[in-house]
Amino acid sequence: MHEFSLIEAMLDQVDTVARENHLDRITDIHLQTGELRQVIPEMMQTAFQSARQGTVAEQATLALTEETGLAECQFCETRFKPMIHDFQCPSCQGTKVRIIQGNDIILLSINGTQKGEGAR
Amino acid sequence: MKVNVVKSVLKANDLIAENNRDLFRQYRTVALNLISSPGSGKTTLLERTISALKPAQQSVVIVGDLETSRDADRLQPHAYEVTQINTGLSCHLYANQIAQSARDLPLDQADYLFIENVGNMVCPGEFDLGENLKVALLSICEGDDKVAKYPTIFRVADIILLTKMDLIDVIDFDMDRVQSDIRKLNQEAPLMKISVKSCTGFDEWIQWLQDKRESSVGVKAKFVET
Ligand SMILES: Nc1nc2c(ncn2[C@@H]2O[C@H](COP(=O)(O)OP(=O)(O)O)[C@@H](O)[C@H]2O)c(=O)[nH]1
Ligand SMILES: [Mg+2]
Ligand SMILES: [Zn+2]
Repeated sequence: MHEFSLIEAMLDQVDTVARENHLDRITDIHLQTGELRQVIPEMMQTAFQSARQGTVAEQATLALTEETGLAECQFCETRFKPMIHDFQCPSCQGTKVRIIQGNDIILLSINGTQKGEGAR
Repeated sequence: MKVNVVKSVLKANDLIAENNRDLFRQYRTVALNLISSPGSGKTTLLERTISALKPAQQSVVIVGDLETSRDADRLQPHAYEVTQINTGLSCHLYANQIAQSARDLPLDQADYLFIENVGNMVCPGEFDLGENLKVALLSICEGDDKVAKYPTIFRVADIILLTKMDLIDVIDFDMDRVQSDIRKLNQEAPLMKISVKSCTGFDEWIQWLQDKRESSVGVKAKFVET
C-alpha cells in the first residue's frame, strides 16, 4: 500500500521537473526502486494508473528498474546483501549497518514534449 | 525531449525534514515519531507519558489522523499544546505538515514534541519528519508474526515497545519468536515490554525518554520547578 505514497511523491517531482524544462506532456518515466523498499511493481503500476490522471503525466508510461540491496557492517566492514527481514552481518552477526544501495526510490529520467512541439 | 533527473523522489520531503530537525535542535526540543498500526496504544501511551513527565517537563503533540480530532481531544488535557493534522486520504504524515504545525507550537516551552503518526506500519517509515527518534509500537494483540511481515519499521526504530503486556496470559504470543525476529533486524534499539494497565515497564520507558533528552540536548528540563 505504500506504493501509492511513493507514486504521489514521484508525480510531484515529475511535475516540478516538467515545469523547469517547459514540458507540457510527459510520455515516459523511468524510476529506479531499491530492493529494500519492498515495492511491488504491479502495485506501482496500479497506483500510477490512477494517480497520473489530471497530471502532466496523464499519458505517460512508467518503466521500473530494481536496484539490488547492499549493506556494510559498521563493526567489521563486511559488505553483504541483506534480506528484508534479516540484516545480520554474516561475519559478526551485528545489525548496525550502513546501507550502500537499494534503499532509494530514484527518478532516473522523464521524456516529454515541449509546448508547440509536435503541433507543427 | 529526455531529461535525466537521477534524484530521490523523497528528496523534497527529506530537505524539509532536515529543516525541521534544525528547528528542534535550536529550541532544544526532542522530537519523537510514534509509528504503529491503528489501535496498538499510541494515544493511550501518550496520555500517560505526558502526565508522568509533568510538571518538570512539558510536552507538545502533533497528531496525524485520516479524520476526526478525537486523539487530539484526548491529549489536550495532558499536553501543553496539541495540534491535529487531518491527512484526508494520505496514510502518513509529511515533513511539510510538521513544519507548518511546528510554527504554531510553543517549542520554546516544550521539552518534548511527540508526533503521533497515522496508524500504519509501512508508509510512516518512509517519510522522515525531522524527528530525533523513531518509536515503534507493537501490541501483542496484533500477533507474533508482524515483525517479520513489516520489518522495516522495526529496523529503523530507536526503541521498540511491545504494548498491552497485561494481556499476555490471554493471548497466544510467542515472545521468543518476536525477540529473535527483532534481533535479526535491530540489536541497537531497546525492546521494552509495557502496559499502561498494569504499569509494567512504564518507569523504564519514562527513564529512557529522560536519558535521551539529556544525551541529545544536554539538559534535564527547560524549566525546573523551584
Ligand atoms: N489492556 C490494555 N489495553 C490498552 C493498553 N494500551 C491501550 N489499550 C487500549 O487499546 C485501544 C487502542 O488504544 P489507542 O491508544 O487509541 O491506540 P492508537 O490507535 O495506537 O492511538 C484502546 O481501547 C485502549 O484503551 C494496555 O496497555 N493494555
Ligand atoms: Mg491514536
Ligand atoms: Zn560485521
